[in-house]
Amino acid sequence: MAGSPKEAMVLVVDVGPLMAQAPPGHVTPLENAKDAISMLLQRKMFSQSKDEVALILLGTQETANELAGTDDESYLNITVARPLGQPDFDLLEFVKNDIVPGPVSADFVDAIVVALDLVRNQTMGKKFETKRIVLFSNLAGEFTDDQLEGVINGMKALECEFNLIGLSLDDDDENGDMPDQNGAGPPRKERTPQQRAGAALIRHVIVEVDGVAYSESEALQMLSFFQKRNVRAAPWKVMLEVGTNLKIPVRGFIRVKECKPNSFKKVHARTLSKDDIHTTHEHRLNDDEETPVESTIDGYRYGNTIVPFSTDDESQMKFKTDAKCFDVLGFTRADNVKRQYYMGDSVRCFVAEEGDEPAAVALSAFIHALYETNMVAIVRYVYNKNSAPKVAFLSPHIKPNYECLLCIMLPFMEDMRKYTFSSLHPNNKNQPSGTILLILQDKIRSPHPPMTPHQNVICISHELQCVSDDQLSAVDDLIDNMNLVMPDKDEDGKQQQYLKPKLTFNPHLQRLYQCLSARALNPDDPQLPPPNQTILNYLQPHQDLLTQAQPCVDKIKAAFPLEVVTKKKEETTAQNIFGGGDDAEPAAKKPRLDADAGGDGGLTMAGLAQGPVTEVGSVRPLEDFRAMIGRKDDDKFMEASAQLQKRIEEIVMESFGDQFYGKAMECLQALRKESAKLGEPDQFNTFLRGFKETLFNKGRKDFWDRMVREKVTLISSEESSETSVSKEEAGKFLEMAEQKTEEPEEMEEAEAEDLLAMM
Amino acid sequence: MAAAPQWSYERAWGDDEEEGEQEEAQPRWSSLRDSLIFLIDCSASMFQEEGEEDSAFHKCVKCVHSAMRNKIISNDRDLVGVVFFATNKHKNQSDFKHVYIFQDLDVPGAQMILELEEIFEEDGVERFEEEFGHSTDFSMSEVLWNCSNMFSTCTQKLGHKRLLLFTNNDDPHAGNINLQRQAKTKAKDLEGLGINTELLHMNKPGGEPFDITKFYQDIIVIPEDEDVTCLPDPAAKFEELLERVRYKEHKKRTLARVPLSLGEGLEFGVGIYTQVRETYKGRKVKLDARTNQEVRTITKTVDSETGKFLMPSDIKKVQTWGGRDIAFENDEIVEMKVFDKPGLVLMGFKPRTSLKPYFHIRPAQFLFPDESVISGSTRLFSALLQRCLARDVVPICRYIPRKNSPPKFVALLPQKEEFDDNNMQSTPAGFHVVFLPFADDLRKLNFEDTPRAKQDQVDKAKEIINKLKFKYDPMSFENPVIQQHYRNLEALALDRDAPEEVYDFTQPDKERIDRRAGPLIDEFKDIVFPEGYTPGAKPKRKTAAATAAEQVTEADIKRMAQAGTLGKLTVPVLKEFCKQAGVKVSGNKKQDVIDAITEHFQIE
Repeated sequence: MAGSPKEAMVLVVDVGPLMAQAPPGHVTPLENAKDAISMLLQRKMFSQSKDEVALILLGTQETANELAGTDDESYLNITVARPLGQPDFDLLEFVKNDIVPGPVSADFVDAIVVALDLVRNQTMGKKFETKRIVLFSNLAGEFTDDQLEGVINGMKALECEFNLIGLSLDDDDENGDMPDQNGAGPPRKERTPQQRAGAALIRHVIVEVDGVAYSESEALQMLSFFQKRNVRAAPWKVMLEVGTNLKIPVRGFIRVKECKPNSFKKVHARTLSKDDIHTTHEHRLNDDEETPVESTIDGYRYGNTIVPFSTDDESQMKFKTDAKCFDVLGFTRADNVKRQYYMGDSVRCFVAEEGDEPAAVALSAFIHALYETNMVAIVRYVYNKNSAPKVAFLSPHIKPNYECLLCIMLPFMEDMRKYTFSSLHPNNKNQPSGTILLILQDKIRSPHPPMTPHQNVICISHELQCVSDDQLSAVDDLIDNMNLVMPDKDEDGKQQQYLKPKLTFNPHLQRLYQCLSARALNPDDPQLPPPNQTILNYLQPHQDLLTQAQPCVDKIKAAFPLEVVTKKKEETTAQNIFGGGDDAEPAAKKPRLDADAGGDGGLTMAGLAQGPVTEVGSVRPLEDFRAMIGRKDDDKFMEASAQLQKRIEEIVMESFGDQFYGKAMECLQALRKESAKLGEPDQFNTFLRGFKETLFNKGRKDFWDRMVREKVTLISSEESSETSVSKEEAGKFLEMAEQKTEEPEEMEEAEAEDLLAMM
Repeated sequence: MAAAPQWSYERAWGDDEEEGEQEEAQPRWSSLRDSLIFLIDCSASMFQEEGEEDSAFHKCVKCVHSAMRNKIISNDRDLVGVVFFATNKHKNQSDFKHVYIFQDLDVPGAQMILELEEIFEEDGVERFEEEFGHSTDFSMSEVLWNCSNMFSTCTQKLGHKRLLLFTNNDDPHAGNINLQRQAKTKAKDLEGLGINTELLHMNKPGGEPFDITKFYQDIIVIPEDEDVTCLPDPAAKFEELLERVRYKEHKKRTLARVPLSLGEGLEFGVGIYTQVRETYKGRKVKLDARTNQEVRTITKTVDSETGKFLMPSDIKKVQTWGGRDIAFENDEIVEMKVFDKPGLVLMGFKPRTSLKPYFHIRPAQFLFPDESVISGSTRLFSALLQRCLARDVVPICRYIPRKNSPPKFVALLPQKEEFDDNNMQSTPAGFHVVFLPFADDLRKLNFEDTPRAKQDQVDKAKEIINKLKFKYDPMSFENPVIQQHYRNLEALALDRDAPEEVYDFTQPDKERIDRRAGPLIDEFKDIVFPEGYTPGAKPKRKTAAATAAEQVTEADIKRMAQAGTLGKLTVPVLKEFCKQAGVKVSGNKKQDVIDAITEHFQIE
């Protein structure tokens, strides 16, 4: 199978003394080159490219290359620091730490010859789409040009591309040097005659082999983002069928799909090894008897009945499809497929089977016919035998260099959420308020009386729907002044836009790569690097637009009365109650704690009859905890308290209102007492700090209030000599005002969505 | 139930085939998680059979049976109860006579369904006489009181309380003013307790119409502006109740309530809603196979060596890049995602046409004003919506849905409010939140240049398209996988021989397509495909190894053989060389091939 196209790149870096010179306060050309190379290597690594990189230094004290020694004069002070291979952090570290200014100036033409030789030898037998030599030099050193034609012919023969980074060749010597337009680089010095001669030579090479030269600042700018990941395009080959008689062989490729960060693997903090850690799953019946995995069976709920459904049952009874399928069901007007119907996580792009010209013509006929009639095709999509069938639509996409059908999935009836929203229409006299409308509508739809309005419709008073002309014109001004389409056009006559998706990188991935790189090079630095300013900038509206639009914003502020509503306590509680994940897809739901299980404590005969308690269960956590720490044969305190901590959190979070707060408080107080008594205050204190945060974040401030009332705080040194927490600190812990609650409250999370995304 | 495709092709102009207009999607029973008591009149007249038709009672039970099965799938946490009244026997907490709680309020399950089915059985009617009997001496007040008690003694917290009363008697307490008054008072009480009573009236034996004014207009809740005297035909309601529904109801819920910032110090409130989301089968539970009881699954992270439970602080997380394991604390991984507080921030406006059809990475969400945090939000929202529609622009925003989630850019696609013929809202006003891809999400594809169709070929394709036009509506397509699953589940739970059959609406009706467009398709193929063209038959292509091998010359191989570095080449390349140079290889290992080549050049 063909891999993705890869490149062999030889970086030739001039480390001679002339690269280490810079006007005071400016970075030397060598440092700039090192930065550019570092970025380049990181881009290659994080884009998961298969490209291979070699590194050659010229101007080193030593000489280490295969050509040296053939005669005594040539190829001196040139070091092959690294043969061709995939870039890694070792190479990056070498670039950062071990590329230092060398003592002598070496001949860059010689270095190119060495590079060419390396390309020739080390790419043999491997498949590289492109080969490239990149010279980082300001061309200030001496050179000989007797091998020039050999270099050019060699590049041509090897189909090797050539770039120079470090000296712009655009400026004409005769006009003198122009100041750097970007203003980013150091002010340019007058070029030396040596540099001009070098530039002339390289220009000759570049013209001959069709190469490109960049100034340092150009290169740095181009490299300042982490490159997007390379994904190998794997075609899905299928027949596009219309009826029984028309088959068009096509290939589909993913055109758009969210690029998610790689997943992290859990390791043991002490050894950083995956092998020292593993995850266990235990299955227990309510009486805490463990069920071996092989004795478990899957089931589904049918109301309050649980129906066992073995894997065999499931595979036997499940809906089956015969084979992959891409059949047209019919055609429909493009506006019948609304934007909000788009399903799935990707856009595929279908073209005719490679090399099949009749298929290409047939597909082209349909692409143009759909385009000209403003229609789309609705198709049945089955990826493979026994995959779930889907419905998708195909829309024509015509570009100067190619044409294709874009394919996006569509929803099933079950996927549609038909919610009712109240009217925003000010003049609709028949619907004085959304509530009545809803009742009427519901009456028609359902044999049952409607639900009370507050739960399924947001009532909008009539007054709020009326908007004056002044208010509309204030909004108009904002639209005029926050235009993301720039007035000027680019070279192709296209209107330039801010925030083009094609040019906007995912800030999370950029940040992740930045942190990965920083941590890889400095594993002991506990701080994450600050986010890259370039990224932070493009996450804010463009400064020019903001300045320009500020008067409009002020005008809107004046025209529209807006007032922050002081939060009512009830609302918070209601949120907690009704936001308890009812809408979450059941797949993501965890079994709830048995609501009846709480409250009653005390030892029971059943408890006594059981063997030693090994785990703090959810039914009688406190008893389990006491039993565990009371065991004479084994010190289970850490384990038991960790489990009880978890239970306390669960009880509070799952509590219906404050129903189980009493139970949680009882556990918490007991945990605190035992922790102090048994000399393990720090574990408790750590827990309590985190717990406090959790309570605020998860909207359980009412439990915190109870903790304050009951004075459940950190264990201080007065109570246990094992801790350094002072009494004052413990007292303050409860006082600390929490600002987070002032913010608009965190709403119900789309937890199901996220979980599904993770799976 | 045999099902026909729920959609059909539109009648193309000049088309002679008769095709029905596509039907409106059936209105569905919509409800929230609630509690519902079916209250069934069991007086003797309910059991009278008329000709071939089922008795009124039988119809009611069928209805309840169907409704209950629907409920299990659509709202499996709702509570349902069944109460018979006008029975001879009684069973209830207050010892009310002639009121029999057949099934107390509970989450319905297989047991309840099967109990109802027993009533259908052949000797069902006789057994009913025996077990419950009939009477006319009941008091409607007590019947209602009993239901109210059932709601109030239920241990679960109830959202909505509904009473669905089935009867064919429009005047149960004829002539007894006292009982009538008591019933009316009790009905008021129920209303005060938030219990909705609704009537499912049935025609009296002999087809006499049901007169609601006699008694029931004071018992049930009737919306103010509905004409009380003229009740809709009960058949329609029954039909709806009898219709099988196999999809989950979703409660409307905001995904998030966040501020939308239009500029410095200018924020208003919006709620974000899901409009469409892929539905999966219900949650799987793990059972102990020996008892079929649900087990709890406890997941623990433990130290491999000691087997000890590890605290979060004992765990770090790594990714491997460039040959190194790079480790972070969990908190750090969270921190990397945090850029700003949740909310939408206006970046600017773009023309709607800049929103390309292929900017799609996940289903869109819906934006509607929210007054709960900032009052006055609706007016600004409405003004923004109106102007975006008028100017045909989309606001581009940075969107952080909740704490600790990384930012995305979204386009807010304005949607105009629309009303149907009855002046009912058919499309709500609001913005669709369309997620924009990042550069990272757009993949570069390179295609070779291919020939394009000529105009006559395009025109023929247009004719085909015109013949196969239909009005697409997502409500026409049930998910066969989910439907099969529900049927399987039902069959296993209710111990049926086989699940009900599923009709796959995603299957094309090829016969119909051929009938409508067959000749055109033949004509199309004639002008597009060359003689003897078989779709899918293609010339054999060169292998990758052959291509790679071409780059390595014989001289290279020889030199490498001399240097002993043949191992650097891949086996396919080496084999390809052998094939071309006619070198015979014995064995399959790489070394065998290398040995053969070395021998070929006679190097020792």
